[in-house]
Amino acid sequence: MTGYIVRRVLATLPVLLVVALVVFALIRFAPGDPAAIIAGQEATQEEVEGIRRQLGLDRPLPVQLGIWFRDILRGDLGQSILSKHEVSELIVQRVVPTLSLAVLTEIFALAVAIPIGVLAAWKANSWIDRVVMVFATLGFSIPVFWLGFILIFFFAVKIPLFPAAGYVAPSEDFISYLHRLALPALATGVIIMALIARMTRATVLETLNEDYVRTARSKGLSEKLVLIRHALRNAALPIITVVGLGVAALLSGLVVTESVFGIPGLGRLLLNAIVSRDYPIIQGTILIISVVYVMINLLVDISYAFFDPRVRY
Amino acid sequence: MSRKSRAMSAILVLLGVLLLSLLVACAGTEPAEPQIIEVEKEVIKEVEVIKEVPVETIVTKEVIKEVPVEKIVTKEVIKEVEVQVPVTPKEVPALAQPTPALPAALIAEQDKYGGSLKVVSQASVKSMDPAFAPAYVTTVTSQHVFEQLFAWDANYVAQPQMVDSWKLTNDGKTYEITLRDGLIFHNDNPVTSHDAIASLGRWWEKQAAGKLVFQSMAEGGIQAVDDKTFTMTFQEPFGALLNAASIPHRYPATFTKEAAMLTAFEDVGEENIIGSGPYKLKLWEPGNRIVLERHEQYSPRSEPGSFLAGGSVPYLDEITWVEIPNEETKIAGLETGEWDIVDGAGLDFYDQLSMNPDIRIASYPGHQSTIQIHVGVPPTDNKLVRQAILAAIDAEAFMSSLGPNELWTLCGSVYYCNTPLESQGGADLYNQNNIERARELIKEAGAEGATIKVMNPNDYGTITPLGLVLKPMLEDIGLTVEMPGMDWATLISKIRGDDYNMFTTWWAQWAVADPITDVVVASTAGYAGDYSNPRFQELRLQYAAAQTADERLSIVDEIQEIYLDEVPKIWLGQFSSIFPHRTTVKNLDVPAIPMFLNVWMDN
Amino acid sequence: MAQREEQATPEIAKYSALSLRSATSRLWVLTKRNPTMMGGIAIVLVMAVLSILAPLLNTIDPKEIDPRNRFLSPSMDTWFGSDNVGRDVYSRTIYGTRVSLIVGAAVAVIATFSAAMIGVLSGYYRKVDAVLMRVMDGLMSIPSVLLAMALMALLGGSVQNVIIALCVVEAPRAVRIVRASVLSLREQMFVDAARALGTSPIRILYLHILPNTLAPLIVQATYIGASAVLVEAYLSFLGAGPPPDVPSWGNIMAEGRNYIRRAVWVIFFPGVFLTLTVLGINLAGDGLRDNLDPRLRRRM
Repeated sequence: MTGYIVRRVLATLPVLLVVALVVFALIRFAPGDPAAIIAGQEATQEEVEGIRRQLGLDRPLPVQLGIWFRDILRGDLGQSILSKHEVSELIVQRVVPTLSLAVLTEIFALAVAIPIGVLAAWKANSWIDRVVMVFATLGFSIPVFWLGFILIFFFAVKIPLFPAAGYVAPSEDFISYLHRLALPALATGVIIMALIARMTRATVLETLNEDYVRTARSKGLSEKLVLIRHALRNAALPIITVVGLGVAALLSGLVVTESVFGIPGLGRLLLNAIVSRDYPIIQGTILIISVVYVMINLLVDISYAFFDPRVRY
Repeated sequence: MSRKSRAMSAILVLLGVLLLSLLVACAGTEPAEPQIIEVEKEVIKEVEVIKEVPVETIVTKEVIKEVPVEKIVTKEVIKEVEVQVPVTPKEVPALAQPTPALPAALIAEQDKYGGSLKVVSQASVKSMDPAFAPAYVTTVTSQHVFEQLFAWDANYVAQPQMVDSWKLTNDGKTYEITLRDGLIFHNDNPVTSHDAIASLGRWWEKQAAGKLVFQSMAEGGIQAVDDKTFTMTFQEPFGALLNAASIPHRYPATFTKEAAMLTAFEDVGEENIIGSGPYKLKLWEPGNRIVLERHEQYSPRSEPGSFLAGGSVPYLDEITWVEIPNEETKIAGLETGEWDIVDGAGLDFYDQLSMNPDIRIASYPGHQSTIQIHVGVPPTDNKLVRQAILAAIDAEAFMSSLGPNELWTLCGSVYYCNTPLESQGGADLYNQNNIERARELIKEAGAEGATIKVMNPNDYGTITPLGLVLKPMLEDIGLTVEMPGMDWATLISKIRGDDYNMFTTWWAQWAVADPITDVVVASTAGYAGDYSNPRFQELRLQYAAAQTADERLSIVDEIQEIYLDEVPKIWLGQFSSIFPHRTTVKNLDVPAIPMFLNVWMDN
Repeated sequence: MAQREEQATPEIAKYSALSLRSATSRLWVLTKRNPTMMGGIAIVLVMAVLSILAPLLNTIDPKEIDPRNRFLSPSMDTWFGSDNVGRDVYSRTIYGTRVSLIVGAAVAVIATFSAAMIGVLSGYYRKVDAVLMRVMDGLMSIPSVLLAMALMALLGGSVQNVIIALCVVEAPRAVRIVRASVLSLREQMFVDAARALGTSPIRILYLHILPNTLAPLIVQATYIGASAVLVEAYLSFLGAGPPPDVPSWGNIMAEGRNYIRRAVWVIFFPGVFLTLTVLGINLAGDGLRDNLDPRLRRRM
């Protein structure tokens, strides 16, 4: 087991190397020169060049890549080109809003998805099942930003139940913090809910067809007990997996939701950095997001191996 | 399970979606008609404000200025206004903005202190170093922290700010400048002439106007006389120092000497954002918010405050700029009182906001929509083609694509209308809207069917529509148009290359106000084919040396005629930016950029 | 709506020709067994018809501007109203069906095809596998919207480039699926047998491996198509899509987002069309999956 874990952890390193290379290559070859952006349209040519030199952007790309790698290995993500703030500091500042939104989103999604997923599986192939599944599919067919705006339109503008946007730190005002995150969590939650509901249905359905459930049923156990004691419990692991894998969808969704609702999270940090081609922030943030993603996948795999002896290491 | 119920499930879902769509559609169309009654209310309120203004401030000035009443006097309600308002709407724009001293008769001075102002930033603030970053938001935030030696008043006239007195020697070559008393940096050190000199150095390291000043100076022309006084000596008589040094954007901010010694090609860093202005930096969460607090040791000038000049009283305890990325959410938060001001709200919120009795709208009309033409790439290297494009321009179509009619004007003057430099030079060539002539010119140039590459940003509310109007117009006069999608960052990075024929943009009067700051006249930008015209450069130097307003205007007339003949850029008209704020924010006017000096909160 | 037509067919079928009758009755059986799939397919078909017949459906040039008539409310003349430069939202939405379906279909086909190539190579030749899979894992661990955005910045905004960017983003997941099924297939008896008989690897790939991976791949293709239609909208929303005169749903919504209260119709209608289309493709995909490869249920 330990050997397996070590091997899996080591296997993530080349993946992260690929991420680092891809990100570096993409943003460096993409048009957009931070020096020209800083200098603005009224700047002189020599001003642009002066800034470029000062930022070290005139050095050959391999050298810049080398510097970046060297810094990463030292645990240094560099500084913002523009404001000179430490990238790691910026990321730490943004983690709380993003994480809060992610957690609230997952809570909301799970609270809705598991009951309706189980219901759909229990009533498989009935009209309840179909309605639930069509709605679940609808959930991840809606563009998040569109849903976000429609929610703002109804619940912040037409009927002002929620603030339209903004973020308050939990330490400042906890109630307001939750109140403000409610709409964005709802908007992103719908997608995640849809994914989890489908997964729950599929796995519960599968376990319901397993022999031991049939046995339990034939013993005369009530449907409720069968559902809870056997089916749901055995379906828990795959559901955990999908929660983990849903993180990819969640991250993409959060980037968009943050920009719709004005939440100062990692997604906003990144989008702002892209607009000004602040290379160190873009590189650092994407790298961190990828590390998180890879780690979650790793945990999912390991927990799988841990819980399910049939997985061979 | 019945067959019906199965099929029903799918039908139900589809019906549900359609129902929802109807609901939203109905809800959406509801507020289409403006309610005139609310507008009346608003008018009465404005009148009350006007009455508070004592007579002596009704100075007639020809100024572009935010005019709250103008927006209310829409065509439908003008009659009601006349019935109720003793002041005719025409007189109102002539009012100077109420100076802080005036309403003191009604509100005790000390009652105006306190309160926290929450502003939605126009964009993400990435740097607060005004000598390094020329971003609008950098200017707006940092202008509260740093001071300039000279600063614009509300009429765009340079006035001393940090300066107590200055004099020009008889030969017109040497300025002697003395700083005023009581200038203290946020780190409690007094401001000395050495700080001022070092800071000017940081300014002319990069900025075009600063460079002109530096190049015109004699060798070692800047000298400290003592801790308060320094001199600047020029090679030739130089009339433009005050103009150049008072520009509010890319301005010569006075840093501490230590910070000013750092290169302007790099940010000074947060720890060096130490000015002597009325507010100091308290907290900066990059990408989220910036909080300034009152600089308690600040002693304002004794004159009444006027824009950046005069006494700037920091009534507010704190000013917070928050970053909200989305236009719609900015407005929703303003309406619910989440924040007090939106800096540069989307122009199409204007109608809706002007109906809201809790919101007042300040506006600033000094933005010029512009098409910048590359003179080094075929077919636009041919002057005839450029003239053809100029001939085809239907300025009204461009400007009306940007927002409601109240917020744009046609203006044929290159250095803006209602300014001291408004010019009539070559005026008949502006807004010709003459497709026939354009086609003839294209034919004459032999450029029929030639491909024009247009750079137009996808993501810029006040620029994107210009490209949408431009493309069919160019096609109409017989050109082929390529207009790929790109973001503003890409566009701005490509303007110094040769892979395009034109791009759409805007210029603001606070940044490019005259031939000194105009990069096309200075031929220094190195873009759009690096258009350079020796006559332009001569005229620019003449302008810098000119001592009277008439001289300056006649130089501008000639510059404008050359512009309209050579067509290195086409100006389409002027649009306003709007600064809607809650009525609890008092004494806010925006002559150029939104400054919260002398602004107070009525809670 | 589509369901109702489906339901009506058996009655009509009784009176029509035998072949038609058998065809419709087969359709009916399918519908009965999987109404949501048929509903999905019906939506997609309706959208396809709209996109083909766009010029005939009372539309005008979707790029035609009229800046003096901005934000007209929906009415009998302008069904879905007009936008910020006076373009007809109805015409743009209907033509937008073309752009979205082309993007969806092209990405589905190209990404799936290239994924099949890469996946088979990777599953069959273990030497390239290690490198290829690390690259795929790397691409997958960057959030798809961000990766697509970066690619668009690199390539420049046009519909073709959206397709290319989305292929890069969507292919890795499909590669994983193909590779997994190749890995299990190459251990199967019939492949061993073929190898023992001296069949060339290419022939084995072509004859045995590819056909057997086809089912999961087709299912995956539909999901990729659905995802592509959505991500195109995200790209436009983030300002990284095709140029703003192109009538894509994403573009229309991206412009409309700033005018929600002024003109909610601009963002609303394309959003409904987009959601319905993606829903349709997803439902069809689910149905295909259930019919073609029940084992895939586990992977959703």
